Amino acid sequence: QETPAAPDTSAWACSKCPFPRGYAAEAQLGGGYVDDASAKFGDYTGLDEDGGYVVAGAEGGVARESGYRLDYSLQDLGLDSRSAAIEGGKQGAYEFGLSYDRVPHTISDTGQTIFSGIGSTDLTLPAGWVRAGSTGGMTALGTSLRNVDEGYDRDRYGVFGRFFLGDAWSVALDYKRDERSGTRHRYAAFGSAAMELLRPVDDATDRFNASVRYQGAHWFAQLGYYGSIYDSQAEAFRFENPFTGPAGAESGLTALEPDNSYNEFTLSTGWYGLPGNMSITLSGAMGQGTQDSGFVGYTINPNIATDALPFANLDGDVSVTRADLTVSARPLDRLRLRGAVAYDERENESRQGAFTSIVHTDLFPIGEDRINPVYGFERTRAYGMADFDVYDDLSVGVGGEWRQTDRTGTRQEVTSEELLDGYGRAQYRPTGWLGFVVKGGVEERDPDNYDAALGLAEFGQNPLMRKYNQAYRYRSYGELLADVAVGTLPVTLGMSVYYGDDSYLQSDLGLVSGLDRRFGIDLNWTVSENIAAYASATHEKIDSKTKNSSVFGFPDWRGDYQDGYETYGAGVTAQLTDRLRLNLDYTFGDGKTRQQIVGVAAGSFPAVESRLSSFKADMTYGFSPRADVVLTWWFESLETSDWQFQSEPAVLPTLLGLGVDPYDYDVNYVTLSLRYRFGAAVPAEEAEEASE
Amino acid sequence: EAPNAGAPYSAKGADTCLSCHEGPEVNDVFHTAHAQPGDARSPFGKGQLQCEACHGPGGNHAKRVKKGETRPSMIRFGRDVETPVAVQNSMCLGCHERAQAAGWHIGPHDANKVSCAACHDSHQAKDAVLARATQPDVCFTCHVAERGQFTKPFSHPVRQGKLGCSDCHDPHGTTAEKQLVRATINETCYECHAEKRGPLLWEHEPVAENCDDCHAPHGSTNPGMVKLRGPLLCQSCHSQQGHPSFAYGPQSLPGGSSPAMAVPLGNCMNCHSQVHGSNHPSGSTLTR
Repeated sequence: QETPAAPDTSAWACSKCPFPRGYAAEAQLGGGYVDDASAKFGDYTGLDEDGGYVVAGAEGGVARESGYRLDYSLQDLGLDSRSAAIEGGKQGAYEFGLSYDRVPHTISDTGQTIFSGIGSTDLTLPAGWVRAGSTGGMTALGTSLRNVDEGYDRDRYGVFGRFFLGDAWSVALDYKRDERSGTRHRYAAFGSAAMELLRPVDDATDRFNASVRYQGAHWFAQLGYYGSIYDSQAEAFRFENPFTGPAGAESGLTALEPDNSYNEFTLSTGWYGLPGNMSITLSGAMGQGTQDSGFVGYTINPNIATDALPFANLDGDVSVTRADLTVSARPLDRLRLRGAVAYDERENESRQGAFTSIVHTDLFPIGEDRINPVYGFERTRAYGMADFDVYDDLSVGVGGEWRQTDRTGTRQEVTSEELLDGYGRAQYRPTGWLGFVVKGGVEERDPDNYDAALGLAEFGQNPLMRKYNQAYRYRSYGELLADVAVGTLPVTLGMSVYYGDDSYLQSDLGLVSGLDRRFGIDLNWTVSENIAAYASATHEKIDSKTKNSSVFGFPDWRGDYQDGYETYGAGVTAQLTDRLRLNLDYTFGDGKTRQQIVGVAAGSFPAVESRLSSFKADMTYGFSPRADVVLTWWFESLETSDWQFQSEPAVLPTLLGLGVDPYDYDVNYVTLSLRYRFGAAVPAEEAEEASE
Repeated sequence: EAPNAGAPYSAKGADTCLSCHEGPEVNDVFHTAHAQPGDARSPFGKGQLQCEACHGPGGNHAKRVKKGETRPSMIRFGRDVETPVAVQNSMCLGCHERAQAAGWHIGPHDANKVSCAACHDSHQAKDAVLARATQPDVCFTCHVAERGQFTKPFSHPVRQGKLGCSDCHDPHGTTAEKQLVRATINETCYECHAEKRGPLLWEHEPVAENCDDCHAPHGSTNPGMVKLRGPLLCQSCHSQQGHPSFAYGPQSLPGGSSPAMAVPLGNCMNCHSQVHGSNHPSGSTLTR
């Protein structure tokens, strides 16, 4: 790009520039109504209860030509998914912001439990409970069940500041705190009898990001700190045993996630605009993760004698080392080279010891010592690509990746594996509005040695088993991306096709094949100045086969798994008149998962099905340049059938569940609200002033 | 090459442009950071080139055009324009490579010749790709399959506007796999699921290595966003003698001829509930 002589901009007064003047804001207030209660419909939206809701929100700000600005946004104040943010500063000098966001995760509202103390770390059986060897014998079950909702809220708080010190230096500080409170289902067993419980969720995660950056003309250097501290108020959880069992096993105690922390320093630098259009970045990081929560005892069964623990806490200590180098260059006008090397190490220096009194589910000692693994790994990745512009509109390229993974302190069968990936690419863009990218490649992951004897010795693993995350895998894959953006219509069309075929050629048992096919098309059409339409369709099919052996010899059964999911969507936005605007949006999702066992215990599971139908309409009538009436209607139905969900709490004689139903709702949410614009002149007023 | 390479600059800068170009699609730029007179780095900062900082010199474009001649073009931005992507992007990277886009040259968007304007609308007061609730629709224009994945019954709250694509991915390019915001898949997941970080006394080693081995983070028809439903998922790695290697067909469902604990509800997790690892001294088989 030839650059002409810099002009004398002293006469560039920008007198016609419509810079924002003063304060401008928009507020919305009204009411809404949900016609049916559903936890799943309310999941993340805060609309889980039927009945009325307040619709309230506002956003606005003030901007000065001097660079000072302050913006705020208050969303969904009447819902449990409310959020608020304020940002401001003097552009080019400093920026700051505060934010709050509540994320309601309402998981189910059809469950039932017999336990008291839900939400606490101590679940007790109701008075008069009759223990039995099976759920069928629990005579007080029917009268003891109470409805219970499952879910937790995540409150996200954030503060950030960025300070530009002169032209080169900048400092960025960012603090986020996530607080979670509520319940979450989990399972607990006593020997071969198990139950589904609601455990407490009561924790907080504090994250700190700080960085100092020096920005040169064509290079930068940055020192960064990242800290993440997880703090839980529920590190262990006691529950009474509704089943009969040996004396002493009337209750059990399980550990929950312990507090932990992670701190990391990063140094990074980079140069760009170097000769040959070369850019280089280099970064290194050292981090440390710690976890030293006190252990609970081997068991709370008073009738089982146990040895002393080898140590009172793990004194968990993981050190992370990372480095990466990236290079990109255009040595020739038509040749583009990119490459990167990334090194990542997790060294686990936690304490190790022999645990000599392991008790199985507070029932009986297992009679074996176990030494805790101190698992770590080292990964090195090198990848690169070369693209050559054959013509201005056609470029071809090749690329690949080499990855070496070495596992330390592991009890897994593979301690080192190598991955090699190679692909070819072509990009054809005959004109600005039409472009294709075609990519195809193969990838081979090859473990140096699959030590099946280790698995057999350590865990009694079948030596024919090859774990799919470590087994030899040959993958062939292809991808087509097309985008059409016809300016004159104007229509934009995006299409993507992906094909991935995994073969685990050396696996007699385990995952032996996986086939992933995805197709998607997305059309956006600006029909006229006032009407725009869009439509999309996606289709996804995943097939996999898993072999196993119930006779510990040759494979005698296979699990075939087919997961298909389709979506169709369409929508219209229309400015029907000067004052009336209509938005319509429809999404349909249809999933069917089939699972079949071939060989021993052959048969097909009932299909797992999910059908989503979501229609949204909103109509805005501007009865004055500053005020609109907004009417919205959201109808959504979700029907699922899923054998993993069992509506009866007495699932099996030895399994007591919450009885959560598969998701099934049809919900309407309608709102009527007034929106008003405050402050500085609005476009419609400006137009009226201009026409007078 | 830029259509207006070598042309002279206009006489009065923006005032020249605004004598012809008007309407919201132009005026809204004055509500953005690009048009901030108080910021010396901004195109409208003191002594900067205003519209021509991005669109290139407009001297020829602004001249009177004889009948029948076409008006000389300027650098235009977007997917459906004649200006080559490399030229469009060089105008943006002239400023933004300094900060946000340091990794751009190594990322797949640059490799696929995606223009900055394919995602960003720098003339809009509210650029849709920068707000969590509207960002996914911009990404889905090209990443079409992902649009469908996030409507599955078990997925992250992208459809509900509570999570954006850039909460996990950095579209400007990083050396991490899948352009993640943190150096590894696990560390990116730990941003919101720090409780899984450990280290733990009894680690389930694939959990500490790669969450993506079992979970499909964009969405799944299986509870817990797992790729394959248990017990088959667990039996892809475990085949010890006894219950881990039994064939659990439909007969093992409740009401079947041989119902089994390892199929309904949490299947294998009904007993091995600490599947992400345990800090309990008796948790070596992940049951406590």
